[in-house]
Amino acid sequence: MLAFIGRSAIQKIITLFFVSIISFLIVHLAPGEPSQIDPLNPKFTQEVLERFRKEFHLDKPLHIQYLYYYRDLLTGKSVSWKDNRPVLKKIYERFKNSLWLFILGTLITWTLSFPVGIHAAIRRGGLYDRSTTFLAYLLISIPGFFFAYMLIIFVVTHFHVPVIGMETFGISSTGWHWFMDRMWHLLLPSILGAAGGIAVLSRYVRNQMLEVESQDYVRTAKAKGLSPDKVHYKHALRNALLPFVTMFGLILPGLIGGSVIIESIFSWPGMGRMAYEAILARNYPVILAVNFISAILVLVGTFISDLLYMVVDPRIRL
Amino acid sequence: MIVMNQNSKPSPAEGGVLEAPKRTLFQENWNLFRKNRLAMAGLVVFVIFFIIAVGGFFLTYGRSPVFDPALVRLQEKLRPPLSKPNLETLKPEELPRLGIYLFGTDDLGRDVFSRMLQGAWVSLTVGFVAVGIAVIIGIILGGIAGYYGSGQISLGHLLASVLVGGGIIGILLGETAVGVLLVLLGAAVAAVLIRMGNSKGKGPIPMGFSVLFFNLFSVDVLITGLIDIMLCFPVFFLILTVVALIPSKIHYIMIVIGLTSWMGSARFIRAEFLSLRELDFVTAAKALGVSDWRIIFRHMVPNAMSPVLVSATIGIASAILIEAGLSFLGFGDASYATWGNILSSGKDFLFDAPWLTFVPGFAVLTVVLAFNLFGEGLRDVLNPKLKERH
Amino acid sequence: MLLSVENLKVFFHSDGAVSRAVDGVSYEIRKGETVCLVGESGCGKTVSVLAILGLIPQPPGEISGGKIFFKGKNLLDLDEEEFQKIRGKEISMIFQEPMTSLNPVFTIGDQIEEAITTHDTVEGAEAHRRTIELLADVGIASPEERTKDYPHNLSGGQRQRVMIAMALACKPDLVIADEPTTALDVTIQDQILHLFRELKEKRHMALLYITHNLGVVAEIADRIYVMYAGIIAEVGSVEQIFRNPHHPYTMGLLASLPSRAKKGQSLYSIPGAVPDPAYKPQGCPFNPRCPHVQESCRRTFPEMCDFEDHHFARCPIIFQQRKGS
Repeated sequence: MLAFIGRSAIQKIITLFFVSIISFLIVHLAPGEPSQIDPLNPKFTQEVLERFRKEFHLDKPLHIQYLYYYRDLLTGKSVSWKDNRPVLKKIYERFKNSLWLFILGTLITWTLSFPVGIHAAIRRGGLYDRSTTFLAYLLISIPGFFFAYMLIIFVVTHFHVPVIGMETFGISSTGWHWFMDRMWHLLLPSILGAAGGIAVLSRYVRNQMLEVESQDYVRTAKAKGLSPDKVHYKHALRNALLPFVTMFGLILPGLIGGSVIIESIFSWPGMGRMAYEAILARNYPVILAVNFISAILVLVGTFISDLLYMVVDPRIRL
Repeated sequence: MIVMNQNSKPSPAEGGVLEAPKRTLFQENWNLFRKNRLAMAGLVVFVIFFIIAVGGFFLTYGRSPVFDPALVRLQEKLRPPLSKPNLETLKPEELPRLGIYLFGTDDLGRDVFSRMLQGAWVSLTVGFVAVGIAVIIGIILGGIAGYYGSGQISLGHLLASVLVGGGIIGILLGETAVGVLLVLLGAAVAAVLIRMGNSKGKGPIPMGFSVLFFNLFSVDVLITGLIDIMLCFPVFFLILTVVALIPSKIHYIMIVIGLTSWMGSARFIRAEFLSLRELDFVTAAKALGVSDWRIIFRHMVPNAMSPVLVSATIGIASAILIEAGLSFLGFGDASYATWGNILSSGKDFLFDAPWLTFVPGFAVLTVVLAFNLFGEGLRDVLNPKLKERH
Repeated sequence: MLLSVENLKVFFHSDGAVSRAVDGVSYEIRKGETVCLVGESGCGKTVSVLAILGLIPQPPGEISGGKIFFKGKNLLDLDEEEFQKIRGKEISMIFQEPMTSLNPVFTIGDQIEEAITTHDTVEGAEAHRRTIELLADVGIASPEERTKDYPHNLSGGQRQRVMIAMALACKPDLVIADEPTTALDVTIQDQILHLFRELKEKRHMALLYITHNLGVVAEIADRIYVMYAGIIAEVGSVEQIFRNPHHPYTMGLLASLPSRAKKGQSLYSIPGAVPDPAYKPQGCPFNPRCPHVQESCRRTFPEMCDFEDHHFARCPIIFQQRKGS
């Protein structure tokens, strides 16, 4: 067990190291420099440019820049080029906003996907199965922004509530009214964020359940004289759920994912929007930090899911 | 007493068929596929889309195309679908070819129908080229990992490739002299390796050089490591970053999508190769002295293709979605009309000109849905496990 | 008569074709009797017993005809709830694959206790006590500790013993064993077979034992049903079938036993292969492989012929030969 943890930690750190190099190379090898982003801006005189380059070590060779940058990032001293604010602090502010979308979206995804997938598998081939299957494909295939606009048109014309932004501008900050206002603003982007997830996860639950239902031990359970409910929900479901426990680890990266498109449409000041703005402004420290943190989350997520798998599956003992 | 039912006569086979009809694997799969109505619908839509896209390319191509997607008629802006052009304000050559604006016009008075035609071609090529790149990379890397995975990478290999790679980067950065020097050094190390490798076993390797043959890790570790690294990147964000940094040309976008989505194919091919390598027909081919190259491409790739085919079909769908998303965010190639940028231009007129949102939106939805359904149908047919179950 | 299957037909529909897996099969089991169902894989043995327990997946399966009388009532008339009271309680089943037939996420103690508490209203402690007793009965060492084990902790042979214990949990009148030793090592096979013989003496239960292994049949059976391509080819006691087979298929099976081969002779094997159940030959299904085939075999389906005392075979050709001589 300890050996596994140690080995896997070393492996993940090596991977992270290469990720940091590659993302650094991508932003720095691309043609153009951040200092040239706005050549027409009169404030960017040659002198200012030089100072800028010096301040952010852009005049140094690439590998020195790399060391400087990740030293600054890891010690929390890295600052955004645009407004000189610490990158980590900036990310944390936006993260708080995205977190709400993430929590609500994940809740919607997980609470809907399981019942839908399980029922579809039990009634496979039936009307319920076929219609949820088609619906799932529809949700996977619909472009997020198109779906967003359809929902906006629908909600705005039917319920007459504002949905853009995090809250209605100038609303008093207490009470039921405020709460409902927040919920309305939260609901659409969360649903949109969850839509794809529901489709993928419910299909996955269904396939997993079907797979398990065809196993020999399910037949054994039936041959014992158990009721269909016990066969499905005790013997089959317990086995079908195993892989999903590990998925708790894999939702971690979603924390920072914060959809760029959805946050842009809804003017939601979250991580995705920040990343998008950083890309537009070639604000390398922010781009690299977002990339680096999300890589960490991916790696930690897979690590947690490996651990969880060992905990829940009695067959795996390392 | 045993009661034997003397009349227990089985019903004779319908039509007196005595033997299972001989069918090729393709016919058998096709028969299975045909019964999946959703997948069939997907195939039909795909074929129609293909014809429209290819037709759209020829109809919107060139200096004076049949349907001009870029013709601006400011006096005719935001005309709803099926509306007639205003004959008085337009010059004869500015009239829409169909006599009406089938899908309306956008905020610059461009004919949305023509733009949709061109966009179909763009979506099709983006999907196919991006997935083509991804599949080729996937087959090469996955194949190497699966077939030569146990091969070792020595210190010398690493040194040579780091030197050459560093040299190339140096040249790209303008440090030509240092770069060339590094490349030459790397080539020298490689030459030493090859010479020594050839004479290996014939005589002792001179001291000092033997360190070059110190094995570090296997090819498989290298490639699976690379896959793991690529999977760490948030894909859409990565594509967005790269596309924002390079000139926004549609070709670059295709390449970037392809370069960031090969990991699935590589994994499938690797897994298939690992199991195929152990099978008897590969051993038999090896025993007959068939070359590695021939074994891989004659015997193994065709057998490993089915999961790749499925993921490629679904990959096309997601490439089309990604391109539409990029266009929507304004990172697309503005010199072409794409479904994404029609939608993007429509977002400011959501309530005044909803057709700008709905026409391309439904088009993307239909095509992507068709690819997904078709891909899933393929998966069901090609998966022997599922075949037994149904 | 404990169980009598009459003219059972189970068809499977797939890809437009109809697989007639069980095509008019009749057999009977008396109280305390051990009956073997013998035949090659794919001949419909397993499907016919799954029908007894109502475990045919429908669709694609379909019970197209026949009756299954158990203690006088037709099982095919029962609804799902009534069937549940029979499964595991009066008829229980042991499956071929002990490795996959136990649920990997529950301890074996839980799984056996569940079989008990499903049908008998007993307290947990009592169920636990009975579980330990059952495990001891099937020859599991230190049963008390084993109840806390998960299936993956046990070997294949031990898992099959657990399956047997589970099948015996409610003292059923009929136990169906579907090739219970096929997936096991030869030495373990022998132990399990001994266990079956021991249990059937001790418990006086009827046993329907399915196998393709004639050696096993000789050891355990009272009576034998030989199945071929969804029909019964021959019925008789062990004596009758082994000494004096009448159906050419049974003769072929016996001739291909290694123990019967003479030194220096190559082993006999029946030419050809079992027909696809969706495209069976007309007439006698064995006719393409039969050394005694006549023109009539290709046209008419053979009747069951009464050769001697309770010994039947579905071959009029041989019947005429024997009676003629």
